[in-house]
Amino acid sequence: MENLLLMMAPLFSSKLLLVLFFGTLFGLILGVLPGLGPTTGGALILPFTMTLDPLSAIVLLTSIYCAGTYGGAITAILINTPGTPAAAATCLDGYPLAQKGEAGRALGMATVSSTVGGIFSVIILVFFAPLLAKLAYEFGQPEYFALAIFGLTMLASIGDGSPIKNLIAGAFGILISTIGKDFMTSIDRFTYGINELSEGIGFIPVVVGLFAISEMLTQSTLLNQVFKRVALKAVKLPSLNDYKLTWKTILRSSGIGSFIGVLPAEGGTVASLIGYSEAKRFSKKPEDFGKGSIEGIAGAEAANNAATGGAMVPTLALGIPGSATTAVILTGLIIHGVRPGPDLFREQPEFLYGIFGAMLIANVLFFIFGFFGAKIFARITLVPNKILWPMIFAVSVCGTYSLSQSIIDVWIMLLFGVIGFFMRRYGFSVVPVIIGLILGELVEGTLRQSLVIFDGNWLMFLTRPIALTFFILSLIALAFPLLRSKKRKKIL
Amino acid sequence: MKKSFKLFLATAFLVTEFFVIALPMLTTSARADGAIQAITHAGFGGGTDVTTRMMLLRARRVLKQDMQLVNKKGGGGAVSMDYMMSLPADGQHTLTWTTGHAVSMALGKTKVKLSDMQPLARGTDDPQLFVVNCKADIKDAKKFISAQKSKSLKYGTTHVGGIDDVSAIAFTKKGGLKDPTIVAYKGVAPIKTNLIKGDIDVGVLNLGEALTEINEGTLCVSIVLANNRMAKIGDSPTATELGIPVVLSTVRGFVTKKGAPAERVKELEAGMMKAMSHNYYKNFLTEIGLDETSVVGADEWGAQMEVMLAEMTAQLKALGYTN
Amino acid sequence: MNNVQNKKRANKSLPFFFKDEFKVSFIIIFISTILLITTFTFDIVPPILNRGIQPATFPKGLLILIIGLTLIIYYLSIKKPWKVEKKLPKTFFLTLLSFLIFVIVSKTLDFFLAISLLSIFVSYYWGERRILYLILVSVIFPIIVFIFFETILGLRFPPGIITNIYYQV
Repeated sequence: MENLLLMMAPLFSSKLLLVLFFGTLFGLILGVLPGLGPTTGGALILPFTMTLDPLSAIVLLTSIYCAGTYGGAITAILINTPGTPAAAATCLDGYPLAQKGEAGRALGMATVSSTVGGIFSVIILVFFAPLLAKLAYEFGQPEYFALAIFGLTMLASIGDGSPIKNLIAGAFGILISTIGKDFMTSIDRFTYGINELSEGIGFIPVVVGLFAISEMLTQSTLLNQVFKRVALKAVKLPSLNDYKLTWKTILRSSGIGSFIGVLPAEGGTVASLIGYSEAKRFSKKPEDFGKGSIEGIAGAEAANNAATGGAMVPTLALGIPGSATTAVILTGLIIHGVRPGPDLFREQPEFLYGIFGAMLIANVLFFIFGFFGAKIFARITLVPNKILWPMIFAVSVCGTYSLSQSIIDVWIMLLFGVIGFFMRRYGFSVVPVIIGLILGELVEGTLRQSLVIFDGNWLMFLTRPIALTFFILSLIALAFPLLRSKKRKKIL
Repeated sequence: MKKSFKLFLATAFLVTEFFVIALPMLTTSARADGAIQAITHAGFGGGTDVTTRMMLLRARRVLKQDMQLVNKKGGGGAVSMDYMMSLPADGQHTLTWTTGHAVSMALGKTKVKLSDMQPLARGTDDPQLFVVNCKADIKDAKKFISAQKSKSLKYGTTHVGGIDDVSAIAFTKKGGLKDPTIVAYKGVAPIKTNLIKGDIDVGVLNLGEALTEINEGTLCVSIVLANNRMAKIGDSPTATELGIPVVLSTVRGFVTKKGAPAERVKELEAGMMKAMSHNYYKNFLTEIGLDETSVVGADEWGAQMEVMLAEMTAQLKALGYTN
Repeated sequence: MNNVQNKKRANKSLPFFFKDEFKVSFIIIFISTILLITTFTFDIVPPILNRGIQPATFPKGLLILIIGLTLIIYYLSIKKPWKVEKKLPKTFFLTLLSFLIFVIVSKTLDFFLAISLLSIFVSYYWGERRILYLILVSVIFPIIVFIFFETILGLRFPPGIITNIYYQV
């Protein structure tokens, strides 16, 4: 009870409320802009937070984190460009819905499921943080390898291509992750003597290229087709029926997202992809996925926002960041003299519960911005392409450039735009490339680390219960589509 | 005809863009000097990035000039050094030079030499530590050494071909111990969790990276690779005390291109020293487990850069990275 | 005229090397092979660090997997040809050309000039003829973007003829 009161503290401080308001708004803008996201944005304003008191500083960073993660969905739905990588899965169904003229419905669903996922994870954070944090210690490199393999089984079912094409695209994504200096041996791979490539190919140029730029090229081939979009329909929000259909998905994805978030790995992006693919697995209408399924949006968005609270668990309880953005938040905590860890829970609970409360309020705030803004945002789909796309190009280019102030990143983005266009034209989905790129490094790195740890003995993987569980889950995931198609035939 | 005329008109407006952007600049004198570019090679939120930003925070005011962080990633710092060499030697930029830069210079990733750089000041000097699980008996430094006489230990390092694995290998070589088994990681977080889980034996870390776990009593520092013991972990001996003279640290400091006017160099050095004596920076140092001895002026910093480069060159050669 | 084009597009009347299936498979395999050859030029790991899998092994395996799978999809496509794609319109190639112009101008002249040029080029060829909108897209909007990134986020853009005026060398 006392803790609850502490959580509400930000509500009674006008200064904190103001910080929260601007943090949420700034986070939303960062999330919406392709290339920029809460990680880059948080790092850019980190020095500015030095001028604030510690609680305000962390409240500012966490509200940017929460709102930025949600904001990515808006661009994903409206222009098929994930504003942040974590919204890549949201494109799959959000954009087809917007194309059908139901942008408002898609945005509304994204907002509701994001908020539910976000609040769910904050509740988990409040009650189970010290307990869950121990989970981070249970995950060694062999366990991550098994988790990554489980993630890769998504290739069989996600996207709209055939399974073999998905595998090719996935392998291509993993291949991209091997470019650059190999961190295990310091040997350059596929760099062709270009120093800039030794850091590897960034995630954001690839995502922005594969989605935004390739969509721009696709639009250039569709100029003769006239889309009739009715303004009234575009701003219509989800119906009660939509919520009845998706509440289970939202809850499942909130759970998945919180769990993945707790693991010190990739955070929201992996969470949303797994949330999406599980939504499809459990759906009564899996064939609608990729064509504008409202469940798909709910599955992806609840998961990536649930990962925000999840990722804060190890960050606050252990001082080990659960995602890229929480690494920035951790830096923010440390430079303000707050050292996360179990001591924080014992000695400064008022500070901690202030953060929890701020996260809750940030979720409510972006809900208000998002839900009532959805009608306005949805009008973007009514802007003519000949005006809209050059503007998206300008923002994408600057966003990608800002990541590491590298013009080479911009060229990589354009290159992947062209690759993405031809992939889509010939029936390859681009999402497997993203999956491969995220999980590729994890797969290769953790496999090689595990083998050193195991002194080269492959059988040692079987001695790790968590790893074994994920291997078995992977087998089930692969067998599942086969089983279901047999069952269907019987019913028919 | 009409269409192309309109296109011409529109293009003409592009030209006006010059002036729209330029006008405010020409009329205000605030930017008359332009901004100092602070070049780094590191990603957002990393140690180098944060150190540079913390320095900028006050240096802006002290120097009465705006400073902008310019990120030039790649080649382990090679790209950032090449970029600096492309700028005029006017003291309108700084580069955050680190141990990583010494490594890429030793590996021949760039043609830039130390003599092309004018040292300004050092920002951090972070000794390398051998961190172990507190439950392991090798937390005792003597057992740490004796255990490696018969068996190779697993050392967790951040990347490979850098200061971390050089620390491990230099230590075992000079001590006549078994070669370490290097497990390279992308960051420090998994090194810590794997140490606690018991998958690896030693983590090569800096104090600030493991302070949470050390305070908590889950991780312990077995050996410090510094000249003197560190205040916060006074019980942990240095390698030199134990008869293995290895002193290695992660350093970060600031340089500018050689040839800048002498008074400008003095001005920059003085400005940075003042900025880094401010409480903001001091608190930052305390929080990452260091103290104000990290901050030194150009002379001492320049000398250390040379030692660092010589040491890394020798070690990497011994490892077989260079000929 | 339409009839003739339709006939041209009908896949069966084309020799196999003109079909999409062949072109796509060929390009994937061709590039993969080049990359596979590259993997043999990777440096050798110093012996003290040589443990477990070599850095070239993993990419090699992936490339062989890609080549193998591509052969499978080509084999399958012989039995079940892909749906025939429409010919790419002129606007597509113009958009592609605008990317090229962007790369060249951003490298030689100026980053923001390149954005402006691309915007006006794309907008015009996509059918925008109203002068006000063209200015909005190519001048006003890039300036807003520049100001946002430069002042609010504090980023520095690469030097160029326009940007340099701002940075006032």
